[in-house]
Amino acid sequence: MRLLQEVRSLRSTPGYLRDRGFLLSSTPIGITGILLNAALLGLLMALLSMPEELDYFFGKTKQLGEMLGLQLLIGVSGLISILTPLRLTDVFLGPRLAGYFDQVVLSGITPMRFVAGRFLSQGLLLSLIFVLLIPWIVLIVVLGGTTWPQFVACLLLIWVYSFMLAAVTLLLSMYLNELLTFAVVIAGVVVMGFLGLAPIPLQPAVLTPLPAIFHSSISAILEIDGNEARSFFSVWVSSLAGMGAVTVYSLAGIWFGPLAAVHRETSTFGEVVCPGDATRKRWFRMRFHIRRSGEMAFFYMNRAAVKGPAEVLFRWGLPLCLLLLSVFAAGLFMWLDFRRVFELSDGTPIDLETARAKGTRLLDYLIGQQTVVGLTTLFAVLVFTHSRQTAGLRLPLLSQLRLSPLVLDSICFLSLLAAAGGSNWICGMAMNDYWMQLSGSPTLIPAEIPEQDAGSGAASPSSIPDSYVSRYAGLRFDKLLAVVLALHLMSALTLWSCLQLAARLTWSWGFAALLTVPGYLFIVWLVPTFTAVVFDEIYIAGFQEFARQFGLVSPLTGFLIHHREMGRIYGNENPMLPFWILHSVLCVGSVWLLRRRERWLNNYSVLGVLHEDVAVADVPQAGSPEESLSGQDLDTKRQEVDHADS
Amino acid sequence: MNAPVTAIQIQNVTRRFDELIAVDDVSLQVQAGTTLGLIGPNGAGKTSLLRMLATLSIPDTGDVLIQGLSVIRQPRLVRRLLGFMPAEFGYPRGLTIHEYLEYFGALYQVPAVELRRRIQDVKELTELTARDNVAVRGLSTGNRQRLLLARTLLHDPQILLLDEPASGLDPRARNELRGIIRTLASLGKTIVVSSHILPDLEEVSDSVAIMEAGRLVTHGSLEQLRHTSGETGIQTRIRVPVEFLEAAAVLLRAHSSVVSCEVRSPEVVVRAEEESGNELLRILISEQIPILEYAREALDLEDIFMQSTAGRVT
Repeated sequence: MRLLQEVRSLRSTPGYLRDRGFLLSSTPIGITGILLNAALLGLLMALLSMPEELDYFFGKTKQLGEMLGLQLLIGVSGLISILTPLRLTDVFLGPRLAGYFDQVVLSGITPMRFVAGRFLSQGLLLSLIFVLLIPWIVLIVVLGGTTWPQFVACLLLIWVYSFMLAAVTLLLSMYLNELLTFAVVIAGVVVMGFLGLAPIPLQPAVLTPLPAIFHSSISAILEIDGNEARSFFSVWVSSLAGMGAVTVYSLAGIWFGPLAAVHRETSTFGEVVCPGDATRKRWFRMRFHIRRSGEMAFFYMNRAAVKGPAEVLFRWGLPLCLLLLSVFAAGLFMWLDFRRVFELSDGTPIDLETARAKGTRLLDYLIGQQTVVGLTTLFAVLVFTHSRQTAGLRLPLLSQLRLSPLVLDSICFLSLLAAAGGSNWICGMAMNDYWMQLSGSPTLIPAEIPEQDAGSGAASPSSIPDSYVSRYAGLRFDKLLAVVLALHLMSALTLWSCLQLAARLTWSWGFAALLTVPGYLFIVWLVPTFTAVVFDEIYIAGFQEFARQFGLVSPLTGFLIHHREMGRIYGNENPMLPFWILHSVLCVGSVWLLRRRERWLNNYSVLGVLHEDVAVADVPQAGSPEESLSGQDLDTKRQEVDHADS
Repeated sequence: MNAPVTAIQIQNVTRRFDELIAVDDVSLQVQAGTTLGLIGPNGAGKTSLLRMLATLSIPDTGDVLIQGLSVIRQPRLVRRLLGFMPAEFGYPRGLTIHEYLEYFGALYQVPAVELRRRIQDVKELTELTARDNVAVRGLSTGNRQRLLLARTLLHDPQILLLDEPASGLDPRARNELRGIIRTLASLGKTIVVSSHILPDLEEVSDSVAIMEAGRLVTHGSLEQLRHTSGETGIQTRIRVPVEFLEAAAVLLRAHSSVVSCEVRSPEVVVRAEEESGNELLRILISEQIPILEYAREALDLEDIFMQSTAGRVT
């Protein structure tokens, strides 16, 4: 009841009032009507003009009424996919560019309430579209052929889809300017749409209504391929659950807001431009440089108090769980499918000859699993990296325990790294053992191995002590540790550069991350390997041996040696000492730099957190050393740190 | 009799922008229900100070208490007490005056019934009633300022911070604005108003703070400032033929009672100890300097300002 009252009260929010005034006026109704009818007529004309393709895609049994129903659902989904981001991308940037965002902030309205009205007004847009559809629906009824429960269920799904798009757009618009927000949303819609249309049994793309709308067509294609299709209800429920989850997550993201503190660098609201604004604005109109994170921090002072560790769980716990799930799911899926392939239905292993024939597939499983784990880990580098806007923040994890974002980032990344490494190791070893058990010999090598080895001049299969799996999938502990070290270094460098770079730019986080990972890959991976290869061809007295040793610092060289690709330079040896030395030094150095940078920033942002409700312990208390600092003391202190830093 | 209540307490506030010190160790108190005029040349730090009061900027050192609440630690509570009228006028596109006020009323979460009444009240106060359906975009500067003030008053704040409200207004509009500010003061609001236009402030302010180069030069009621500026807060203007200006100034400066003597052609402006007016006249007449006009008057705000500041900017 109270929730209902809350929702009703949102109808008096400025966003809802404005949207209601706008959407229920003649111009938008007329434009939406024209767009909708044009889209539907266009689709209809296109469908009628190519009956052959139509029959192939939709099946010969489709009637005109059913096709019309289908294209109506597609047309509405498409229109909503475009109109929603168009309508909502400027929710924060609009007031700011029009020069009244400070008034919005000073009104004391919470950010959630500010955007909630616009979120709710999505219902008005949908109502408007559905009303405009009535003549088409009448036509479909007259023509017949539509399965009405499915049609209505799809309309409901489109409704949820529309709210999901609205929530995601609003969430993104907190971080990005309107052009980028629009581009990201549309890109997401297109990708999910294509994935949603893919005829695969276990449909992962549940964030679009297309799998439900095209259910009968996708089922038909799957049945032709001999796969079992999921029921409409199952697809519908999974789509509903997926879109509902994303909507709730996005709304929670808006409620929690961006993780940015108001500190000395950002403690003035409303600075619109940086030097060079006019040129960049004129040429690119991208407005990356508009400093908004500080302003959003001012806005989020209006947010109600967040008690306990909910914020930490949302910001770090949930992404960590999802990433861990991805890692474990990849391993589990691979293991189950592996057993399915290599076992008979009664659970006994298949015979050796059949297993040999399936040998190459074993490698595919491992590569697939390790690719998922690798991508998840790289993604984790980005997820668990926060910019210097977070300097000075301390978030409550337990009653007495407050941690900085940097510490939380590090804990989460290392946890994921440990889990990913463990998953890789356990999964690979389990398969290895299974393969050994199956083959009955630790030296068994599948038939294709000698062919691969022959090219690289490797020893004959019988002389190779490890099994096929351990040799070709790199399941040696030291190799795994090397990958872990390289990833950890990448993460530490990214975190450091995010704290170091682009202090006054909103895009520091992405910019720093984009700069660091490719930079590291180029300098530490590519350059040494390239040097070793090039100077193997070009003889310069005294330099060849250096180039050979230099090449060994790169994990890429190690990887290539492992796969017999650099036998001419390194033979069968794979000394990893140069790699360990360089990476250990870099890792320790980057962690040291990271700690140093954080200390500098904390000194620089003596004000700490300025929200009275959140992490209030960070605000200097009366009589505390921080509060007793005068401006001069502060300068002296900062200069000392600057000096030490330089 | 109740002791005056402090509405705004500025405690050793400093604000820097890189090397620039916009506000330098300013301390000030404003009593509840009074109007403070904030005066200073361009770059004096008036807007920076007002923005700190409005929680839109955080002091580097010091703190500001609004009715006992810190702008640093309790900005959410402070914002409920404040009405801030910025110097720039930003507005949502495509709205009429009435829709504009409705929009901001909804932002301030004023209940619908109450909002209708308040919109009517603020429109009457700012004389915008007749322009209900006029588009905001087409408004003149004067009407924009009225609308901005109306919007500032919508949630009935106890404390008003007005940043250059008379900027760009013609004399008639300025006069009307002064009337509105006086009305608001009579309603018990605490008002801080910054302006370059000193006569306007003189008329509406209970006290005045003069800033220069980020520092608070002087602060007090107009009477206190007059007395600080001259022994009596009185100045004498003596008009003489232009060729006698320098001679008259030399004679007057030589007199022991004269505190200061400036030549502002075609007159000499003298600040002297009390009751020395006749003596000065006698000196000039005895030296046969023709006196065209003689006037004694109280110091105005401009005089105090000119005397207190040296034209420094940050």
